[in-house]
Amino acid sequence: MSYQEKLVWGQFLPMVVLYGYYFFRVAEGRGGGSLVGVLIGIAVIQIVFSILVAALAKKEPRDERDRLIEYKAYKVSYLTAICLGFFAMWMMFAGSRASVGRETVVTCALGILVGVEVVRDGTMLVLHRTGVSV
Amino acid sequence: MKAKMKIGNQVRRLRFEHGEMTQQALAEKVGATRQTVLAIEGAKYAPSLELAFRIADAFGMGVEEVFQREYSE
Repeated sequence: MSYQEKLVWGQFLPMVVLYGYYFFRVAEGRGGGSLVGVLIGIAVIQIVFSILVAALAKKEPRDERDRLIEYKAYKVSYLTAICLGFFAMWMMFAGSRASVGRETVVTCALGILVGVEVVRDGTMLVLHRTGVSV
Repeated sequence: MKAKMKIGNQVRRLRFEHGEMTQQALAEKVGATRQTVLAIEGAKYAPSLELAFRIADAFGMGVEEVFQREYSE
């Protein structure tokens, strides 16, 4: 596994686990708990993981393949953002005539941001494994 | 119908012919990562023209001696 791939895993896993827990609780109607706590938890784990990878793994600078993988992942995540954005708008304004609370809008916006990040990192991990071509 | 072109290469063979050069050594010589050299050897990644020239230079050969066109229907 390459140095860059390890760094992506370090971003991806804490995000999936902690945001997953947060949104699972929100979906159950129990409230997600402290969002700030989740954000701090993710940041701390990501920083610790990056330090560990930098200390234990052989550092390799990004090369053209890493940049191509990143570019493709951003492209996929951009399309995801567009689709999720339209879907959210449809859900809020067209699909339901009921008024939408501020909390729902914030949760929805956060969900889109998290979804886009997860898709970006997930795409990078898949492309690191399967290979990438121009 | 236009035939599909794939870029084949002799990188693995050339590494062994050049003192069993490791993937890591070649990667450092051309400014890429070992994973990129691995992907090129497995024909999973077609390098940029610049990297292809650097790899050819590392073996002291022309780029066409290292990389070849392979057509398939």
